[in-house]
Amino acid sequence: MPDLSDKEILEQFRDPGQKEAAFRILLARYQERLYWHCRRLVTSHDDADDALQNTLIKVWGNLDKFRADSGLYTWLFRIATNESLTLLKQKNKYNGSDDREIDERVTENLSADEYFDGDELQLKLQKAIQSLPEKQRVVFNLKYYEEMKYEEMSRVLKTSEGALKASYHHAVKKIEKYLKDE
Amino acid sequence: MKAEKSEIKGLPDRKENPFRVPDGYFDNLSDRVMDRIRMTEEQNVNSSRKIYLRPYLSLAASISGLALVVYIVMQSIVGSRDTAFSSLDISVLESNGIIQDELIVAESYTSDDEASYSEWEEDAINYLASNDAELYNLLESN
Repeated sequence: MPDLSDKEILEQFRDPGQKEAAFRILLARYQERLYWHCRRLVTSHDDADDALQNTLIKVWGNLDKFRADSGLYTWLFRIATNESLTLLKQKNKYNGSDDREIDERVTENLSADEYFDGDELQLKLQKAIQSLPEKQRVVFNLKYYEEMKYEEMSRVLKTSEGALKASYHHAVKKIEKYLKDE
Repeated sequence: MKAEKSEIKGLPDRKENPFRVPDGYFDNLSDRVMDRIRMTEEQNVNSSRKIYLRPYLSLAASISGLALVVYIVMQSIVGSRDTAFSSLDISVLESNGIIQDELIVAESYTSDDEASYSEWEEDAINYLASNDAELYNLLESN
């Protein structure tokens, strides 16, 4: 992969002759991180694949209009978050969305998922994460797994750092309680 | 993905990623994404063509429909006007003695007045000959 900065990738992308090559460089750089972010939010590989591809199609369609005021990485994570949550909402609309139904569905999906290798504790953690309210779930994943700084997360989710810290704190407390009680 | 240190009570110190991906998933992801992008762009072009043409097609259909309605209305107006004019024309012509019906001509023919007979004879025969071959034959046979 050529060692281009995000800004140089953007410049190349705006040149029709280099558009696809630039996009492939961008994919190679960010696809895994974006995939894992989607995957933790939606849990199944197929859903993560759908959410990621929807994300990348939107990126392709809008990257030439992107202004580098906020970082490219922040912008990509924002789109990936929105696409994952949209996909989850569509699924919940058809499958029910109360806590018990979500709990049962996550257990069922993860137990049957050939791409989930977690032990009993990992399964419990995923169920605990899925039981969180949407915003807390996103904040928890970005902080716990991605180790994203609150300042950056604030740009991704357009929420104040204080509110994000509070969300993460509540999420951790709920997860600890869930693990203890289950 | 490497394991990281956890900070949550009840979880092991090391963060583990319990998820896996199918073998080679990331290797061909960019190709699959590009294929989908091309497909999406084709669909967008096709649907935008349809959207672009839709007002023109609607306009053409409306104009055709309107033209058909106008044609039907005009046909019915012109048709009734022709009939009215025909009956008007005949009655006007008849009332002004411009034309005479066959009965009047026949009556003229049976008149006893020999002078008027000879005077009318040629006209009546010519008129009937030009208008009704059967009557003409009848007269000839008489």
